[in-house]
Amino acid sequence: MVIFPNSPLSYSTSNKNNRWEGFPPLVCRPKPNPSGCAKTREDISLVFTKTSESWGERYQIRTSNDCTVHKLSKYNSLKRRQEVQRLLRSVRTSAVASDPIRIIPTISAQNTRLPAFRIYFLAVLTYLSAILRAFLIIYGEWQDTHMEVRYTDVDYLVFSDAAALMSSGKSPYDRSTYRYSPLIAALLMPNSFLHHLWGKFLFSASDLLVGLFIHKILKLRGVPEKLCTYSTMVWLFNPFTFTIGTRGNCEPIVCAMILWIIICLMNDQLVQAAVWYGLVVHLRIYPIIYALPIILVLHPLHFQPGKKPALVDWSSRKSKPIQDSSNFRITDLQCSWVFLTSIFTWRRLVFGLISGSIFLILTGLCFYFYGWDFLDEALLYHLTRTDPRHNFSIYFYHIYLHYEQEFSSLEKLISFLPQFVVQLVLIFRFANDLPFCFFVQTLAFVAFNKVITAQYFVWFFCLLPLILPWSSLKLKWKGLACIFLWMGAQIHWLMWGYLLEFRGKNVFIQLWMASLLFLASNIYVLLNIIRNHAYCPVFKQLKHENLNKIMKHD
Amino acid sequence: MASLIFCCRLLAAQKRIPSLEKMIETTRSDPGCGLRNTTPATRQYSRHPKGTPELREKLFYNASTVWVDSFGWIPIIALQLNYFIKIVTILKSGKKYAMEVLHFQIQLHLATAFGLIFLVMGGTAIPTTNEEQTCCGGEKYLTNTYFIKHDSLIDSQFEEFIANEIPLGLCKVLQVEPQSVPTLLSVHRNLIGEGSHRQLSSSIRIKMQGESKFKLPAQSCQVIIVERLPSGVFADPFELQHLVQRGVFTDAAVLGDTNLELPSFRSNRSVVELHVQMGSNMLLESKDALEVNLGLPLHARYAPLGHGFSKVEFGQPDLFMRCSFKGKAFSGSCLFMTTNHIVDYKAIPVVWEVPCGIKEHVGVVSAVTFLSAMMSSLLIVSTSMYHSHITLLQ
Repeated sequence: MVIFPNSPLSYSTSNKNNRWEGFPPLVCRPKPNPSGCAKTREDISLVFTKTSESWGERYQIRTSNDCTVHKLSKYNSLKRRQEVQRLLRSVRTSAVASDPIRIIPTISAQNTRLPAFRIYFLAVLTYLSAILRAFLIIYGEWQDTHMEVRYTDVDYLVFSDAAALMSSGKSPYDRSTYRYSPLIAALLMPNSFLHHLWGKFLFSASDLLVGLFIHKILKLRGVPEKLCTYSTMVWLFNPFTFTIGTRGNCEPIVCAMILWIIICLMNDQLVQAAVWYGLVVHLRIYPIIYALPIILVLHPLHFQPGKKPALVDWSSRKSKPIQDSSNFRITDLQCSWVFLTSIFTWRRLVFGLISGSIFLILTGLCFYFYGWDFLDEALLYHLTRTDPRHNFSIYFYHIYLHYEQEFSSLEKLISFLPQFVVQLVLIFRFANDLPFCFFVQTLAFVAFNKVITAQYFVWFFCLLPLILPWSSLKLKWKGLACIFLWMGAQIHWLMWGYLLEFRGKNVFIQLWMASLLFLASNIYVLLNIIRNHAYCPVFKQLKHENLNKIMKHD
Repeated sequence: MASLIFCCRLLAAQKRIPSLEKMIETTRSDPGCGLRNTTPATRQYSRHPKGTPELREKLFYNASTVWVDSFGWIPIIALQLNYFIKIVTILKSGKKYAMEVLHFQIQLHLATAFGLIFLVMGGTAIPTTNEEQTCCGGEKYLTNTYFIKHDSLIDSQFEEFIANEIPLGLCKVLQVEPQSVPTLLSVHRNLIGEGSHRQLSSSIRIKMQGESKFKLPAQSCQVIIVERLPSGVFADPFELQHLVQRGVFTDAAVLGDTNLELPSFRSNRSVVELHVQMGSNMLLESKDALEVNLGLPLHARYAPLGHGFSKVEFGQPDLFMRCSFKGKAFSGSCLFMTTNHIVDYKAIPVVWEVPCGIKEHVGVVSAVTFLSAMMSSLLIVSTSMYHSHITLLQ
């Protein structure tokens, strides 16, 4: 009997953690010399042996009397497949036996090498990144006092001053250019009586927390250990991210909160997720774009009464995708009552009401304490911000040229339309794969925004590790092309910006074209990521016949 | 031990809190110096909580921590290295090590790491105490009273204010002879640097007359320069405070419109007032004249649209000298205006060329911007509709 490659073959599994599903069956080629080895295919049984759990999977093919015949390459699945096909061709020519091939995954005795290591590898990584951040904070102190160019961001000084004002009972908005919620100034009050580096340590600690949350989310979704660790390293050792926290920007706290909301949703802790979501929208307005995907993902089909929702495993990303019946269906429209009841399920109502009321309570409290100053600076400024000074956005020159005239409503609508349309399409397409939806939404939001500054990039950098295990973008060469194109466009823009600001040349048109190039590179990266992503919903769908039962429950 | 050290520093920090509160009290209750109005037109950033440390507190701080600073580092770093090496060898050897022991080692390591961090934090702490109250009997900043009365800076009103309403203090009472009033020899102005951030450097020569050198020693005099900034530039008040802390100026304030972000056709003008204490290092060879060199960092606002570059012209500053002296019967300060006694006044206008947007570009820029936004959004929409659900089995 000849076994063709890629045909599904049943195999016996004795181990619960086996990951051999979908792997093409192997055949054995008998080794020529050692005595006692099988000569015919009757004596051969295929044995997969994992020799080392933590450092990757190494495959061996052994005969039934345990003499190794062939070792396949470890990491590259393409090479593995080619080797297997080569083996198959050689065996087919010398086919003798007739009994079917068995694949028995075993775990050899050597992979109990370092049980503690696996658990503590993450601790070592966290420790190293903590050391790096502490060193950078202290170096920043040195640079501030000894060099003309400061390491600390201007924003950190704004926060510290506002916190000092708050601790003496005054309004933080007396400090000009303080444009955040008073809660952030409240967090930094120990700056005045404890140590002026308290804020930076707090932000770096939330930076590390983001790394831990990323690891947790990936583990919850069943990603293997090695991939988890690599993805976490993409955040922990990314130069964009550790400089943001150590320079004193408050973005890591917002990122930590968003990841915690994702964890709470995956663990069905709805009330907690709603509370944190209300808080994070109060601190920064931009997470409001995540409201609709969260509402969509809280579909009744994902939840069984009394049980935690089942999460789709990473290893099933290669199987044929299930038809997503929890999406928007045309037949639902025909029966508008059914449609309405499926929108207003109790989960969605609870989430919406709690997060909305938390947001209103916090805004109301701050308004009560600080009056219209708070509303103007913290909320309305961000919503109606048109900054004509040069930044990465393509709209800056247009705004500058039109600054003397007010913008008509039609112009405002036209400039808002691409953003709006893109967000809606991305939400309705990808809502069920929540981290991926958040990532593409944030990337598109930042790319089309009227003002883009470097700290906005952290918003999607914290979500990037969450989608990497599902992406088939290889580092060579497409991944590297994306990275270099994106960074190259940024550096190109920065060069023109330097010429304008520090050399005083009139390069507005060139700067504007550089920002168009930057938009093009953002779009290129976004399109590549969408094309190479294996869409994998977060929650498993229940069978359709349970739907009516659940609808009655809700 | 690390916690002990940290508590020690915390105690030192506690000592600083009463002084901070005292500083805030004086700011609030003192109407004369550092007046802060909350209306936007006269918003003035007068005081920053950080300043020169008080002597007594500095001694206490140093005495309690000097031995820690010199010797405390050594055992902690040694412990750190020890634990680090132990953990690395455990992990490398691959032996089946008892998890509890490993756990304990790592905890100790982390604890000593925190201790190290606290030590370093203590070493770099800048004590935040109050400033010296250098206020005089009257207004600290001369131009403050102008902005109390008027909303924005208009040249004619300001000149009238300068001519009539500045309190000249005790000079009239003192019967100072006209010849002994210091005279202005020359003012050289220059714009240094390139781009949007430049320095306006002024070099001022003042001649002190013979007898007045004995009556009014230079060390007790301050030169006050009032710059009326044109609407295309602004000065950053926080940067000026930073310079005051570093000792470049004795005092500095920006009055008027201090919005740092508006382009020039939307903003009002501002006035910068700089105080520089005259020191003996400013005496020139002739021993009769003093030279004061100032660099005022300025930033350009976004200019109104034009044809490439728009010009910003600087006018002449108003110069005053405030001398405070303690005599047998009286003490106080006396204000001289020196602009009237100009001997050699070079009036070459200082011009700054700021790049500005070009009006002809409007149509092209708007069209291409919106077109590219539309195209990008269409690309994204089409890709997400047609290319999702692709698995890795390609």
